[in-house]
Amino acid sequence: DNKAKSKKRDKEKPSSGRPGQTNSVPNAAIQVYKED
Amino acid sequence: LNSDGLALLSLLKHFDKVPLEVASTWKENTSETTPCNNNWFGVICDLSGNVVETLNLSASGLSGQLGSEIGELKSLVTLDLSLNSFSGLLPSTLGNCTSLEYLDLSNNDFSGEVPDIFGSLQNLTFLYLDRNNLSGLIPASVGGLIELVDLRMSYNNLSGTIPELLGNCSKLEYLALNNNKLNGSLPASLYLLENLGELFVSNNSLGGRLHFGSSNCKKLVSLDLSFNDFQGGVPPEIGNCSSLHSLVMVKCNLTGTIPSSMGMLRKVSVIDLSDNRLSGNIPQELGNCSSLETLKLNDNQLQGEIPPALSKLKKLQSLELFFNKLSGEIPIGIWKIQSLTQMLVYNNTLTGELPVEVTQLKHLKKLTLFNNGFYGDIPMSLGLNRSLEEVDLLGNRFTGEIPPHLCHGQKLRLFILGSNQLHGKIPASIRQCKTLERVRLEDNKLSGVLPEFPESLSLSYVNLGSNSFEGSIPRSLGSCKNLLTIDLSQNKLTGLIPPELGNLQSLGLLNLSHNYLEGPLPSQLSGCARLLYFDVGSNSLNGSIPSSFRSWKSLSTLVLSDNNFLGAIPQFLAELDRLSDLRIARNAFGGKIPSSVGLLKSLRYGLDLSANVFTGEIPTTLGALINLERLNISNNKLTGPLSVLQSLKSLNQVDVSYNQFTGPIPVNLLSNSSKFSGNPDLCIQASYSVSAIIRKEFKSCKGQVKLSTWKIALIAAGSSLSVLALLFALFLVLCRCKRGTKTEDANILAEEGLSLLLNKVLAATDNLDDKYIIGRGAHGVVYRASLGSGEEYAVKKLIFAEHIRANQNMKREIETIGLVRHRNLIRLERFWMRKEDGLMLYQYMPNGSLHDVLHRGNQGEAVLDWSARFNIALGISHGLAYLHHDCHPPIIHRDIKPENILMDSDMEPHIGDFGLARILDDSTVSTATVTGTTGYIAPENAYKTVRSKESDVYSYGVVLLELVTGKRALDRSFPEDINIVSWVRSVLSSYEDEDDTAGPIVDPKLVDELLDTKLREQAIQVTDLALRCTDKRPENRPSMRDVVKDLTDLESFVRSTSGSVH
Repeated sequence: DNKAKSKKRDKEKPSSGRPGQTNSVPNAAIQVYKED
Repeated sequence: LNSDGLALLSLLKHFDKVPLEVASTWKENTSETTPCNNNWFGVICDLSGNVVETLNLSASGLSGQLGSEIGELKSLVTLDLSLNSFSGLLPSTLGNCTSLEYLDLSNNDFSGEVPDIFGSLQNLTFLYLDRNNLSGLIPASVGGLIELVDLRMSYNNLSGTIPELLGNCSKLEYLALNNNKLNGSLPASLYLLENLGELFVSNNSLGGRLHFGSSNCKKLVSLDLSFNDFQGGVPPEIGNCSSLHSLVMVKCNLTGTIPSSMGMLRKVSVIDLSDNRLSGNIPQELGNCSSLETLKLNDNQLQGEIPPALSKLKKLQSLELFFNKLSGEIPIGIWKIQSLTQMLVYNNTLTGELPVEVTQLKHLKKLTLFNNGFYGDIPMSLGLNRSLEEVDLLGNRFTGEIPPHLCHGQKLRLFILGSNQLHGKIPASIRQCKTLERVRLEDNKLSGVLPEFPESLSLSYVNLGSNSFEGSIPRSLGSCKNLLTIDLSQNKLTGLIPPELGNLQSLGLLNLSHNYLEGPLPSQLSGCARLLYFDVGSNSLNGSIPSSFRSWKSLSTLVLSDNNFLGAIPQFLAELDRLSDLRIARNAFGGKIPSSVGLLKSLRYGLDLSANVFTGEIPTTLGALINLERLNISNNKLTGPLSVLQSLKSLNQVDVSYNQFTGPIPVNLLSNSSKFSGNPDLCIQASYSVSAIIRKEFKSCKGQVKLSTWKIALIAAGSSLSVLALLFALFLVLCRCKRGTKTEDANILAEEGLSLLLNKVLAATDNLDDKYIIGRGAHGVVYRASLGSGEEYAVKKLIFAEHIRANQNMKREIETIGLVRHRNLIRLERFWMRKEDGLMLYQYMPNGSLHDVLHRGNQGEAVLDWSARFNIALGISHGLAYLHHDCHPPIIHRDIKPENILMDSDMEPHIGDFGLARILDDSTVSTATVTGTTGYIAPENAYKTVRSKESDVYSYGVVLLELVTGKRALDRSFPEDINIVSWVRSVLSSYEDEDDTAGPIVDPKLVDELLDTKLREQAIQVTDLALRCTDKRPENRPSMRDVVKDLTDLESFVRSTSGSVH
């Protein structure tokens, strides 16, 4: 018999693939600017 | 005090921070002989009251080390030091605590290896070492823990393989090894653990094939294998794991199809197989997973229709099928699943109408269907159920009007219906919708007056461009303080620009171009202090540029063209030192071009001052704009010489026409895209150029010495070489390829000065005399060097811009290019760095380029037969697939065309110039450098310089069409503005025999050969592939790996049917 009382530990959170996205096409000009 | 008490006091000495509860109770007391009777904090003793059985200091704020004295607590059953800040090594004396059943050291900062102590801990049932900084191997002795029920070592830096002996822990119910650096396969013994209920091994580097599904997996409830690099697919027997509740295998390189046995998983509520390489259809059996709440299959290569059987999933909440190749309609039954909260199916090729049932889904929050082929009216009652938060239907073929109640629930954040065929007005109810964050209705047929917007801090993005909206710009936009983007371009808006827009301090982009706006620019717009992009071109605006706009310190693009602005270019413009694109053409700006324009050092993409009334000479300061690529100062009244433009080394488009310039045209401006007309006093210096003379437009500056046309071309090419070489040096990054990292056979050395071979090459070409020139590519002139001993080479000369001479980085990078080896890539043999130039030594390709072979065939030469063309197509695809998929980072070629495909004596193709393309990482990056060749540039790149694998695939598709048709990309036989892609599509669309897609377009020289039905079928399939490669949408194009596979299949198709001949 186990004398140890196991604590109730949280379970691992399963992985998740990337969430759905929305259209967020950045403006080309801004993109270029940021890269500069 | 007994030994246990003394051991505890010894342990105490290793603690740095000791909480009061411990400090005040862990004390030696002369009246006590054990630590058991004085309420020592965290200490519990056995019934006899002599020995410590439990030490529980969890979450006590402790730090310091765990001393080796822990091993003296020999009767310890429970040790819990979790959730502290212990550091240092785990003491191996823990192995002396042979009664331990519960050991929890998780959530600390222990480091070093896990000591191999478990052989003596036969009673250990719970072992928690997770969330530390442990490294090294998992000790094999863990396998001796026959009582072990729960083992967690996740979130460490453990490496090596999972020990096979772990399979001996037959009582194991829970195993978490995720977020380590483990490699190798899952041990076979693991699949035999019949008590295992939960297994987490995600975020490692595990490989090998998966074998779940034996009879031992009946208790498996939760399985997470994500973010590994397994081989093969989802095990076909996975359906035997009938208790599975959660099956998560995200991005672990799964291939093949989804097994139908998954339909046996009646308890599964979450299936996430996203971001793999799964192909084939979604099996209808998934409809039997009656407990399913989340089905996530996005980012795969699934095709076919969504099976109607999924309608049986009455508990389904989230259906995420985006980024696949699914087609057909969404089965009506799916729209009737009342539990649905999100429907994310964007980026497929789905069609059909949106049924009225969607409006009856009471819990639907996200409806994301963008980039598909849905059509018909959007049901008018959509939104009445008040649950909608995100509606994104962009890029479909929806017609009719915008449903008026989308925001009825006051929860709508995303209102995205752009790029459809909607008409009518924007519903006035938008005025009450304060939750909106993004409104995108661009590129429709909407009309009417724009509604007022609610005062809102959430709205960040409004794009209503390319519609037919009328009336004025709503002033209320100025109260949406967090707006980042407003695009109202290409409408019929009238009236003044409201000064309230100046309240938008975060605004980055304001595009009001192509409307009928009037009046001056309100000076209040200076309040938009973070503006990056301001475009009011093509309106009827007037007045001058307010000086308050000097506050636009971040501005990168300023477009005022095609208005009625007047006055001088304001001096403050020079303060906008991030301006990279300035266009003020076709206004009434006048006076001299201020010298301060030369201070705009960031100017790069364009300076367009054309069609104004500027006078005087070009200020000498303009010569400082060394990054400028396009300059248009045409149609002004400018005078004086053009010599100042000599130093603009980056220019690739110049228009100085219709002014009064005098003197010689600088050599660097002599290219096809330069325009000088209407300046009668310009001349061409006799020593270097006659291209203009040939056009009989300009006189020679001194005499009439004529040079041959090829010298002009050489000069024109040479002038751009230094520019290209500069870009080349800037953009090349180190690249390593899977099969190209062997350095032992790579003899590429960037050598300065002379070498024996270089001497031979120079001797063989009379010091690179022009008569040995065999080609002129985008990156340099190419000479043929025959060394006499049968050795033949092609030598490409790169001329460097001054400041990159003898650049060590460049040398290293070219050495790295030399490591890229593939039979279908031209091989770089040597590279010499000289003072003025670099010489790249390549294999000589006796059959020239594919362009020569295909389009310049002399009479009498054998026609390139279909089989040879097919082999060429296949060879190029192999080479390009290697650059895209086997090089890290991948190499994007950026200029695939027949001229860059070199043919060896066996007519095997070799892609050239690949090393001179920019080497990119896996994502698409925007840049400006070699911009490809007209006719081969993908449509998405028509007005920008983004290059991606997909744009290479497009160019490759054009080459395929050339192989099939024998025509050039821009063939003279095509009508104006028609290229080979549009020509083929248009011919085929009007051709009645749908089964014979090659018939009307195939090269007439191939007709006889293609009477063979198998070869004909092959040609048809290649045409079909070419059309997919040149699909307008990049995401619809196959990858080069797909292309290789398709062509290989086609090759075996012909071989298999003509095997007896071969």
